[in-house]
Amino acid sequence: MSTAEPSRPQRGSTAQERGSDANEHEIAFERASTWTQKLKAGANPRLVLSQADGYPPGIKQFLWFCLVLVYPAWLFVVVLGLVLAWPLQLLAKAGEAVLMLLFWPVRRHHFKHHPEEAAAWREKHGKTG
Amino acid sequence: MGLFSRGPAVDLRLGPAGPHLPTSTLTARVGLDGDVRGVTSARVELGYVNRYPYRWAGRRVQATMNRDLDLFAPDTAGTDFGTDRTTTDWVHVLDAPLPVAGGTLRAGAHEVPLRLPSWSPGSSESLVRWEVRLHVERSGRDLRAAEAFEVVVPPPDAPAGFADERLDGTSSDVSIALDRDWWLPGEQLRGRVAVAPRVDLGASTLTVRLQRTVVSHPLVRTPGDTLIIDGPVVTIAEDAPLAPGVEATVPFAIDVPGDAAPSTETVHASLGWFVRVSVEPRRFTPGGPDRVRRGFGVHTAVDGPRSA
Repeated sequence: MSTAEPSRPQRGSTAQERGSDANEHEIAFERASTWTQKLKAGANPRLVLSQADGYPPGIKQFLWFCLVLVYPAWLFVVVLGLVLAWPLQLLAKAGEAVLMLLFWPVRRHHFKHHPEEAAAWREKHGKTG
Repeated sequence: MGLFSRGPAVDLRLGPAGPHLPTSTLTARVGLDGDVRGVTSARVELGYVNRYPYRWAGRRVQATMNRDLDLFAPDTAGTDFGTDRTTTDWVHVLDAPLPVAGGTLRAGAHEVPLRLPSWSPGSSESLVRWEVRLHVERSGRDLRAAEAFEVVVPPPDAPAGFADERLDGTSSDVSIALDRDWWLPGEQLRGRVAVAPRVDLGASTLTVRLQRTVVSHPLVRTPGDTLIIDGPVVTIAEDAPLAPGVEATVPFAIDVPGDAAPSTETVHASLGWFVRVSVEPRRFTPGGPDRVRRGFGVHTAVDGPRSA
């Protein structure tokens, strides 16, 4: 027996299916390739205010008020972050390299006696050593 | 009808007694103890109250840019701040009109047959509450009534395509086999775990647990995080020696909760069930403990018309 029945209502989409809901100011910050562009995009007051997007009316205006208050501190952090970010990252990498060198005899001894762990480590990190 | 008269009393009843299967027909009986005048539309509506999690405020920028794994990301913008809430929305399925003649809905009993669609999601406390609602719109206060009922779902005919999914670890190949893909609440789920170590794991503990997930996919609102509710852990093997080249097969049995919600996909959220197996070596292994899960289905009707 074939009976006409209502079609299945369309389902919504998950966060993964929808993709990023970054706004234009955040995308501009992401796409900025030079330090000056990053600094300009990061210091944009609209980027700061857009952090309250998605909140209901009332709360959003209150958040705007708070964001305006913290804007000077925001600017300070943007400058500090951009000035120190890469030196800090380089410093961390250098520290890692020093530790690798320092512990090289230990690693060599351990991997000599546990070749399967060495293989697993190489597989995980995609390199030899 | 006087200014302060309450109007006719409405009585909405459903028959036959539930629970109901998809494609079955139930009868809504609308009883009125007096004529209702000035009626512009009168209908009986079938649908379900869909309960689902969503992100009530804030946005998800970082997680969807795949930057959530970076601890230190000074070159990214955006925030994932916000909290999830649970809400309910009405999902309309079908309307059946009531006979209105000259703006009057006659007193007495009106019977309306309502056929449940074949794709009806099964009732569950966490996601779906089926209801029949009466709407009589008229000049003056509208008449409204609602009556809930239960829908139980049989397993689908088509193979569900459940597969193993690795969550963590690279120390061994783990495969999970279940005696069958669909189970009833309260049943004992039976299966086997096959572990083929890639490295020498030594004495290891194998545990099994059930996992229920609610994936949020609202039509309009911002989707929330996937809810993962873990069941109690059952240890199926303790200190089992696992060596490379030797595949160990361990049978297991674990109880599906008696009040388990059926696997279902609704408009705003989907509910799924998984068996999650952990292989935890006693000593440290570079690949870490392995965690693999496999989906299975929970149905609430033993048999009946199969959904597509």
